[in-house]
Amino acid sequence: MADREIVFVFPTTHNALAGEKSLLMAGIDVRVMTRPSSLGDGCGICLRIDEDQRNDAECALRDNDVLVGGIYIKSSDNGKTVYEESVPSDAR
Amino acid sequence: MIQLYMRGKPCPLPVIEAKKRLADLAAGDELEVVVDNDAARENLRKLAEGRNCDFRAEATADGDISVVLSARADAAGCAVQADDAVVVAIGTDRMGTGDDDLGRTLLKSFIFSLTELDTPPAVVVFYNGGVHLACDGSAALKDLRTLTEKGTAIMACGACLNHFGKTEALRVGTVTNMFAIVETLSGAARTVHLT
Repeated sequence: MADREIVFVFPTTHNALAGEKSLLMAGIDVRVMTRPSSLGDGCGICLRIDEDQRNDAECALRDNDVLVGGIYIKSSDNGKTVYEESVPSDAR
Repeated sequence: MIQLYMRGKPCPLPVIEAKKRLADLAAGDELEVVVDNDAARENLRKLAEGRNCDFRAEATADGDISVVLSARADAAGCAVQADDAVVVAIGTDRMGTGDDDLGRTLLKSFIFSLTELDTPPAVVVFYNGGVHLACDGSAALKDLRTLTEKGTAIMACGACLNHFGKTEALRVGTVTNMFAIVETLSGAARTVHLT
């Protein structure tokens, strides 16, 4: 599977915007995407990062008290996008 | 064979005009497009791949490039709707008014959503504040590159890049001028404007 990304979803738009700011301030390459309907309700904006920046990203969000609604691993399987729910690193 | 002479025509006009002619191709028919640059040849190659057409290109005696797109005999041809050339024009670095931070994030989300379309836009044109999105430091670069890989042409107004001191900072797409922007918008079947 090529190009795995970590996707953060948020309960509100304010959390999403605060999250984006926190990640940018931490120097993380954050990209915005529209929340797929398969990832439930909540804010329609979610953030995605490269998988290798996951730990730094989770720290930045935690340090800035950004409420995260969920974390998913986004990957491609035979051309189809797949989202796999992932446990936050501090809960493992 | 249908022939189209696109020498001297700025990107992405060769692709836009070729798409219109492809609608008239029946299985086994050919469309020849004469261009004068490698970027146009590559964009036509991507168009052929996306339309399930055969592609070949060769240099002409005049130094141009003759590109021939052939509708496969075992397919329904390269028939596409002539009204599928959507052009998105973005003149701002944010979407809507009310909250600028929200607006900037919304626009990034909009650009991501363009990559998810079954048929991405033929062209995305950036002008005025929109040019920042195609420049160094933009969080939308990855998605814009995805769009180009899917055959979308990205154009950024040269005067606007110059105004913001970002001519050398363009990272996706080509520098264009208002004449080409007007031609592109005028030739589009449908346009989406974000101002």
